Amino acid sequence: MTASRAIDFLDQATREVLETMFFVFPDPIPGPDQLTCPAGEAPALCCLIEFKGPTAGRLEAYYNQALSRTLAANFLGQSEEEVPEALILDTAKELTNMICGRFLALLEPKRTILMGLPRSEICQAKDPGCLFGGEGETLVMQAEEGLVAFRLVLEGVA
Amino acid sequence: MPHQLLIVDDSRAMRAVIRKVLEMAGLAEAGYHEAGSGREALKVLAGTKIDLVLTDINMPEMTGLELLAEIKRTQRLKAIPVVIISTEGSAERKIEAVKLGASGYLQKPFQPEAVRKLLEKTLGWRHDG
Repeated sequence: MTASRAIDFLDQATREVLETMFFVFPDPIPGPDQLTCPAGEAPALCCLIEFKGPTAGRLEAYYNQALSRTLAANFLGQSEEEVPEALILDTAKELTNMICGRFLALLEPKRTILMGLPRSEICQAKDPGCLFGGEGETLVMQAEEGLVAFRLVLEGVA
Repeated sequence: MPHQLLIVDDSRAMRAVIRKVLEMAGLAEAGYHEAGSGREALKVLAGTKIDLVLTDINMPEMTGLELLAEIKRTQRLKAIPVVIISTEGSAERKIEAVKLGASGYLQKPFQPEAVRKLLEKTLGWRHDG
């Protein structure tokens, strides 16, 4: 397994989940290193899931605010005005949960990888480069409604 | 008497979506109950006669598989069909669920039609319209 192949699986998983249950159709942005903050504007919703088993690591996801509201509205079948604030973060967590689960199923179709419970917070982009610093691979996708960015860390993968 | 359904998922948003999908599948008249964990689900089951449980796996306090195992070893509850709706989709996990007594397994993300077909196939429920 290479990092590039893993990012391909993450791209596929993200599209499947967003298209099937959220009616959002993203495309990857080439050259994500050129972006400093995928949120576009701070703050962003940040979600993290750790996993362990035959493959271990973590997936971080960042959704800009406009996209977060649209995702919740589409998921729940409500207008953006009527979506309760509390459900916007909950939806982002569940979305990340589904993307991670689908990604891991593509990575290891036969064996179980245990996922932790998703953690989330509103994050402030204090450092424009903060979301792309450190280890792992990044994937940034652009939908009509906004940006979503991922950082994927897989232990033992080059 | 309409069916009484119990939806178990730690995501309130997902519980709302599953309910909406079930209503669209013809179960608009059913009674809906919700729980955010396996432990909460057992409290609901202790006080209400439930006809079907739909549960996620990965939840705090008690997982969906632990809930399934508990339901199937409890005389009063063991006849209740339990359907797993989870992000986990490995062959290993599905086999584990079936061995514990799951009546069906649906991986997220899912099309609403898949829920209707699952209910028909595993439970023989058919609702027109």
